[in-house]
Amino acid sequence: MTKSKKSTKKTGIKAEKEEPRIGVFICHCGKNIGGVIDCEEVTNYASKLPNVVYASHNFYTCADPGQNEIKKSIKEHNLNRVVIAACSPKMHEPTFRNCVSEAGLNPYLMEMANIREHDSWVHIREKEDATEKAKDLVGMAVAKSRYLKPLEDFVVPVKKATLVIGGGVAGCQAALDLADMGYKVYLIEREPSIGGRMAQLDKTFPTMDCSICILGPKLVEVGRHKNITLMTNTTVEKVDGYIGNFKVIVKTKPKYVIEEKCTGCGECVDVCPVYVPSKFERNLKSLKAIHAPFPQAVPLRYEIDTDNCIKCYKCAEACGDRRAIDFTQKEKLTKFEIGTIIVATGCNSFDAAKKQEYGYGIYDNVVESIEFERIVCAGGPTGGELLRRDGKHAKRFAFIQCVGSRDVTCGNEYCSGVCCLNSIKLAMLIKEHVPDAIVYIFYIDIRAFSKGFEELYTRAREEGIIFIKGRPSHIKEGRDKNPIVITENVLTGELMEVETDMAILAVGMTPSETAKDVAEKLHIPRNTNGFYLEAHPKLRPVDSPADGIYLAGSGEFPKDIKDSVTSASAAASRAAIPMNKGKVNIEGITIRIDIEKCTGCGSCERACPYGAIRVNKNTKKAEYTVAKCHGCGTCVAECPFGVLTQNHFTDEQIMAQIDAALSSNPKEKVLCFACNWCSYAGADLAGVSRFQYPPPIRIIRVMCSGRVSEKLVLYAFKKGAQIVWVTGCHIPSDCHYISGNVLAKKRIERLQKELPKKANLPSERLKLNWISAAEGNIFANYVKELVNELNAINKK
Amino acid sequence: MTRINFEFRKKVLEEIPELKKCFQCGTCVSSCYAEKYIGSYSPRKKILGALYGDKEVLSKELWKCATCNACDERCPQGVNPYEVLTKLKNIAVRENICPESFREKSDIIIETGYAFLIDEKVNNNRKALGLKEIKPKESLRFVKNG
Ligand SMILES: Cc1cc2nc3c(=O)[nH]c(=O)nc-3n(C[C@H](O)[C@H](O)[C@H](O)COP(=O)(O)OP(=O)(O)OC[C@H]3O[C@@H](n4cnc5c(N)ncnc54)[C@H](O)[C@@H]3O)c2cc1C
Ligand code: SF4
Ligand code: SF4
Ligand code: SF4
Ligand code: SF4
Repeated sequence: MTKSKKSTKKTGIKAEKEEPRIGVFICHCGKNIGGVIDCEEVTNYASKLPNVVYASHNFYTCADPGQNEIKKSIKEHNLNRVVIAACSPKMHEPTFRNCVSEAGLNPYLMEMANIREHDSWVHIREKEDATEKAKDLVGMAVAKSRYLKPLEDFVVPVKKATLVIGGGVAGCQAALDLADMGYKVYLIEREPSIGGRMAQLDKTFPTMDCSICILGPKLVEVGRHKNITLMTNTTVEKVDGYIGNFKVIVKTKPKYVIEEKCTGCGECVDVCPVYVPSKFERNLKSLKAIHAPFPQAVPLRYEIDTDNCIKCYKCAEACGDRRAIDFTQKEKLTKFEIGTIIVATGCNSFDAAKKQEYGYGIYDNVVESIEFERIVCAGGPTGGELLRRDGKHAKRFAFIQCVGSRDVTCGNEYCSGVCCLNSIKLAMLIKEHVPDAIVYIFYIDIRAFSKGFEELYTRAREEGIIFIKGRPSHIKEGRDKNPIVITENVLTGELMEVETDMAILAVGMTPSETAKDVAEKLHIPRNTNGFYLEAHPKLRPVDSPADGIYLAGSGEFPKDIKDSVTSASAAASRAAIPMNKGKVNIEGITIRIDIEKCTGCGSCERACPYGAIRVNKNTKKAEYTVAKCHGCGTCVAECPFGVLTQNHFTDEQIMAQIDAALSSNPKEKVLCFACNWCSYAGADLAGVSRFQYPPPIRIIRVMCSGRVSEKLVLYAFKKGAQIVWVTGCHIPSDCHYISGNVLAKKRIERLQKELPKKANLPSERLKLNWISAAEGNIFANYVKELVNELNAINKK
Repeated sequence: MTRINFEFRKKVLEEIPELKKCFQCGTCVSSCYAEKYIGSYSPRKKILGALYGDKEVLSKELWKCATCNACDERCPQGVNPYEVLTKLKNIAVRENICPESFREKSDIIIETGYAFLIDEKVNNNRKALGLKEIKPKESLRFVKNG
């Protein structure tokens, strides 16, 4: 796919060689445009522009008669370019692309001039100026259209198989959903067994179900499903490719027990002389060096902890003729090809030792919530007896909330969302085990926002659990190693020192420690806390920004089980869309590389948020994967050697627009570059809202502010622009292409400093602002300010 | 009844914007040595008062802070209560509500460069203890400028 062939089967290719024959269609949009702009005058103007062979105006261009006229004119006048001056391209570009292609013209040979949102609606009372502006806007579109090239969308086939990374409840749910739909699933799990955090829980809030009882059957189903290949002890080694065609290598650590031969009898365990701590039981229990992780583990297979094994080989002897034990096993690499990836690497619990003031790891009877979960569990190390480290029964308990959450001192300012309810759940379990126990919960706020949560909180108060508002500052150890909790009772304003038998730190959730590695291998971004970033926080919550990669479960953000499972099913159905279609379409707005000129400097690679363009280490040349490209054009602007061209937004095309915009009275205009997703849409909203602003602004649409290169800005100044205004999505996280705006900021701020040298103009002539699609009023206000500034400059 | 004094609130927040981060958890209070050893001293309530624009927060109680920094160390919201309290003291001094003893002490330091002056009272005490008299020292004012 590195070099895709451009299909020439559709018409329009000839347009590259032929002299442009441009048709211009001006829309009245009823009175919306026609009531302000003199459409006839603009049509006359357009008809005199070079290469324009036909110009007309129409009452409603988007309606059937309007579209029919375009199609008819293309045929009658043998048009090879079409310019439509009407509403915003964000409104009707797809309509008109479709329209011209029905008449046999390549859809990318159509260009729009936005004379409604950016003109008639914002200059309602300045009819003459609005008409003059419309001429400029049409002139700009005509100028660009001369250089338009026919483009083809790419069609990428999609393999009907998925890799699920992580076998927690989310990974298992996603795997089962896809497998049930009939897709092949490779489920890899780093640990020897699946189930993740949920397998360690005793009960689950708010329903107080037995966790392993509801999870167990799901895990067994995963192990048995004919469409699922389950690989435990396995991590991702390498991922190449793009949506539809990922090539994956995974690495499996040896267990030294041959899975197919092991019958799970456990006779080896009886003879093994070495004890090791159980990770699953949080080191509260020991296992033999040869062991299964825990009795309900799926798959229930034995493995040898070779770090601790003394190589006495008693296990092999006990295994006898079954010959399941194989000390020669090596790490294994497995390769496969898939179409989509679901990332379900989940969460860790916060490392309580980092908050030293609570004495975890120092005081014997300070534990954290997962440990305590094992202590209350009947299947756990104490058989469900609430025992302290000294073997005594604990009767007084204190839960400390928000340990490692809502705490900037450890960098976790977020609320983990599950620990309030989890402590309430554990407190109720204590009461179940020891009805006369005294249980305190020290909290800042109780967050009980989901179905059944508030009810559980109420029940906990009814059960006599003592809630004290106040975040303890520290714990000290009293007699008999009793933890003493020191806090302010915020409601009474008094200090409290509460002696207990056991203190439980309600640790928050942090991203899996593998998330960094996984994100780097898959080229998906993470937020400042290390959680995977979703493509859109509201509308695409389970898509990663990289096509074909989806997010399930708590790796995206802390979630309870229900939300993890919901997101997993959502991710599975999102992944099924391209697999069901069997192909994906990629817009023709892609990159061309003039490979001769490439020096291998790597600027493009650093600019691209999707890993779509990379320097080949051997050839020292840029290599491009069209299926990964999102078409932002940031690499083009970053390349210092002019190697790259963005199709449909070429330098040639944009410079032609600049020429046309500044062809008359350049000193009286502000030239604006606006990104398609935020600032251009913000300008559209100013129009829709009829926020009036002065006319001397000319907007050039680019896909991303990252596309606005130094060359384009300097060209505009050279052509006489007094003020050049670069706009984009808000910094840092609103960019539609993850980080194009960040690069734009760096580049434009650098250029501002250099402007006196490079253009002999003061730095203030180059402006940079962030405007969201919702900030129509802000857009209008900026224009007012800029035009005031322009007038002041011109007065001088 | 709690009433918010928006005028004073605005003034305080302009000078001490980090106040706004406080979510009233109380960690600073149980960390506080002044609260522990002197009593009825709550950084949290001072901050709450400041957020409500209550001028009462500038009262002389403010000076109980032992400047131990324990609250800064533990505050989960990065409010840095110790620094907030110091800034409140600055406002108090400007508003002329600083306790007399602090004012006197600072005057002496500014005037003489010494925190403690040798005066008749000191020599009387020395005499009672059987120590020899010492001569009052010169002002160090010239050193301060040099
Ligand atoms: C103390 C505590 C108590 C809780 N109690 C409750 C409760 O009562 N009710 C409730 O609804 N929720 C509860 N939760 C939340 C619940 O644990 C999570 O919602 C749930 O576990 C999330 O599932 P998951 O699959 O996203 O992640 P996980 O359960 O964390 O699973 C992720 C899996 O991915 C594997 N993995 C990680 N990285 C890799 C890699 N690179 N390659 C391969 N595999 C990898 C991990 O080994 C793990 O098996 C609790 C959470 C905590 C911390
Ligand atoms: S060889 Fe290792 S695993 Fe096997 S019995 Fe001996 S110590 Fe245990
Ligand atoms: S859920 Fe409760 S304990 Fe957990 S971080 Fe949020 S407020 Fe704190
Ligand atoms: S930087 Fe943008 S245009 Fe360039 S290759 Fe990457 S996604 Fe495509
Ligand atoms: S510790 Fe910080 S957040 Fe908590 S009450 Fe004190 S100042 Fe406010």
